[in-house]
Amino acid sequence: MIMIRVRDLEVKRAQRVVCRVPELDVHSGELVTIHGPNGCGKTTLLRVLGGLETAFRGVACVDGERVFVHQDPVLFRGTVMANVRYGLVAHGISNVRSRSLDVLAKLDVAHLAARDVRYLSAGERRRVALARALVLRPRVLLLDEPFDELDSDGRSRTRKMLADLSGAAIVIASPHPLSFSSRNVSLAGAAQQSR
Amino acid sequence: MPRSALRSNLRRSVPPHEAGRDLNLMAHGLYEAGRLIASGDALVFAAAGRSLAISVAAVLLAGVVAIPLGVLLADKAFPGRTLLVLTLRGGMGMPTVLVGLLGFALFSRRGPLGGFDLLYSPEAIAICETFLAFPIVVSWTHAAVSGLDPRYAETSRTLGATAPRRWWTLAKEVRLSLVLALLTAFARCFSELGIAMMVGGNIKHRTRTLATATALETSRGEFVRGMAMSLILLVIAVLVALAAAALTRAREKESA
Repeated sequence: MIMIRVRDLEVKRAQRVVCRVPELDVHSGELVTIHGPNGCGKTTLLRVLGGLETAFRGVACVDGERVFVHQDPVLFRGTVMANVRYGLVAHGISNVRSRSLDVLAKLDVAHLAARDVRYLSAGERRRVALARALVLRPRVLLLDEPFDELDSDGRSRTRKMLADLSGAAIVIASPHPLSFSSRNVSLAGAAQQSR
Repeated sequence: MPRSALRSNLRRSVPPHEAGRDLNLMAHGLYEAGRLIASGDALVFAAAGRSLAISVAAVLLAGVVAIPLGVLLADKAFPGRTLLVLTLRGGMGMPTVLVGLLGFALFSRRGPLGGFDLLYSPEAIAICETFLAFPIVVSWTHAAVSGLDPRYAETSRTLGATAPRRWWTLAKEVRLSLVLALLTAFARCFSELGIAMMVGGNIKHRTRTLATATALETSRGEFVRGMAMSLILLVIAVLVALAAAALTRAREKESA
């Protein structure tokens, strides 16, 4: 089942093409890595798919609930638990606390649940931001360079959690191809064209 | 005219025994003001209490509508938004006598709200001061939320928050700026004279505020009482400025 369909996508900023994707389909249960050098439009593509960028040409259809995690995610004022609960409460999901604690435990940050987010390290902030997205079990998950600032333990835990999201379509933006992806798609061509 | 003649004219215009009289009056006024405050003069403190109550009510009334509107203006684009924001910014410097005049026209017997019999009441002053505080709070809120990292709104949106929930989140992120906006609006309302005079009428035991009392006492030649009123105004204004400075420091510390 196709969850993401992109056709002839073109995003321009100040008369300059910043992202061009002729064709891209992502199926349910697939993990696709969009890779390429800086400025090739990886983030822009994810923002379009996440519904955060609306000025574009072409087709970008996403089927189902989608969550986008920024390359440098922000956490809301308050505790780690308040952040992880945020999306669950917004969706009116019950059993918020146990679900949140479960995801935090899988990312090895359950002990930080009551901590104010101002006192987290960069890696911890990254894990909390991932937990906040993963706890929603979205049908479409869009992660912008999610392994930045994560240590090897954080990377392997994140990989495991992504593997557990059965049925979800996951798109990761990364500067390099990722070995555990179902598919690696290069945006380098688009970058060269846009220049 | 030769310079020596000018000097001699100047010397004649201020007799030696009157030189420094104004300064003495001021010092005396300050002393008496301190004494009045220390003795808890009923009229002075009644006016101060009334000024506080009216200003707080006006700022809270304005805040209830102005904060959500400021967040909305920062988060949602619509035709005419820039014009509305600019108009509200312009409204920050609205002359108090103009608001007082409009309030008078509204609340007077023949005005559209004349039936409520609000003219020359503290409620009328509070309502008019609300319009004075409103553009200040909206503009500050709009500026604070506009200056917030756009990722906050985007994250809230992508996590499925509804628009009101997203606005609540954004408001919480800039809460210190919002308190600062309310304090600024309070300072403006607390020290204003035009509205209190025009729709309040400066009625003793009813609508007399610190600002109108100061004007009245000074015009009656009761310099000392006027000075006492101004001192209380000044002390409260300084306290508000200190609170604002402390909040600004806290905000800078948080964003560091």
